[in-house]
Amino acid sequence: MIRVVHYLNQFFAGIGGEDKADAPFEVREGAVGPGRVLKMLFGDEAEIVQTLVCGDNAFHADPEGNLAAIIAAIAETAPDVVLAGPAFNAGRYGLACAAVCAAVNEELGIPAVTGVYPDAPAVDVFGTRVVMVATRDSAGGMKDAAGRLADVGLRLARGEGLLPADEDGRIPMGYRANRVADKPVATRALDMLMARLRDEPFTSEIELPDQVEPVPPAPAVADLSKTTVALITEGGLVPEDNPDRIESSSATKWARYPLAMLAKNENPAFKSIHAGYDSRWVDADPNRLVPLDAARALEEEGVIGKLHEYFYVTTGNGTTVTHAERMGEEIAIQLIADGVQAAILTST
Amino acid sequence: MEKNGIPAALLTAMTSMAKVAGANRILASGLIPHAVGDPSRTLDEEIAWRKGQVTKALNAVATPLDEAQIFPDW
Repeated sequence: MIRVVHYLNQFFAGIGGEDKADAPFEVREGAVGPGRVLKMLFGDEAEIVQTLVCGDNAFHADPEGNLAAIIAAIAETAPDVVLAGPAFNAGRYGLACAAVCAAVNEELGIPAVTGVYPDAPAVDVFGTRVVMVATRDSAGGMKDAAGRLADVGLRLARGEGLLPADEDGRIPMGYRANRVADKPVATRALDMLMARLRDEPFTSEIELPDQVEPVPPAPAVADLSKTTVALITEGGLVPEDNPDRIESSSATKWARYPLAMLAKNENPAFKSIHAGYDSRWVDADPNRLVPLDAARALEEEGVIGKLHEYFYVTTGNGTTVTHAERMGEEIAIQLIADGVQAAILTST
Repeated sequence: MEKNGIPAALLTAMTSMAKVAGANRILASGLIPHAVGDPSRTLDEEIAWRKGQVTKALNAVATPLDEAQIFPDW
């Protein structure tokens, strides 16, 4: 029979709610709370030999100490698999479940599975290291969550390995596994094309990223001659020593540099660190990326009220939508604080 | 920018990609490695051309819009 250790917080162990979140780590024999649901699903194939319980606050007050105690208990029990939660959308509980799974798997080599809501914080922190089944955002989804946890957990305990994430009901861990297809790629591509032409259903073999939500256009500026305008680029133009260490691809950082410094373009000179285009023409004349000379001339002619005294830069090459949206938000907050009313952006 | 109420014009050689990425005020300009540069011109001609491109971008932020638009090359 497969031997399972189960991890729970104080709430699901029946100790109490937020007022009992300081409940210290303890070991109980047999199944507790959601463990009884798992036990029914296991039938005769597996049993929960031990349940480990730790309060949400107690765990995070001393994660290293608690993990050491948890690992010691599990090492002694030597189960075939460790299941944690499901934690649904709970922040502290989900992180504790994922931390336990990561430690068990990485330190003891025992497979471990938890279940969390796909937007839960644990996915950001542990999503690529820990096997997680997808759950609903609250305990109303216990039945489905326990079913997935049991299925994936027992499969790992039997040494059968994971199925593709969508077949397992898992949260994708960000890697692709090779497998043998029944038809060569050209045939599959043509089948897909023909299905599309016939308006028949088909499934892409590569999951497309979520489409960007359209943003309603901002109101137009009423009078350019009274407007402060900022220059922004994703073309990676930085002082030559790249003091802010902006990445040459997959950027997570942005910076702003004074236009006066760019106008001087000497000690340091500016150059592009963007790894996605041939920057020789921009390096020779940065106005080809950040149109400072033209914008300054239009300011002097009174076409615009004022040119904002900094330009803003990141690298747009391989940058994720998530980081791009965050950086855009951060730049916008800075621009609003500086009284900027319009922006001109260039992309390469 | 636009989500935060700042009208923003994007000068790019890849207008369709800008549209897919969600930009609202898009203008075709230059080539991929130099959206606001044209090394085939003399320096004075290039600066005059660039001033024209920036003027188009300024007109775009001064144009009320209901939805995303790739501006015609005025």
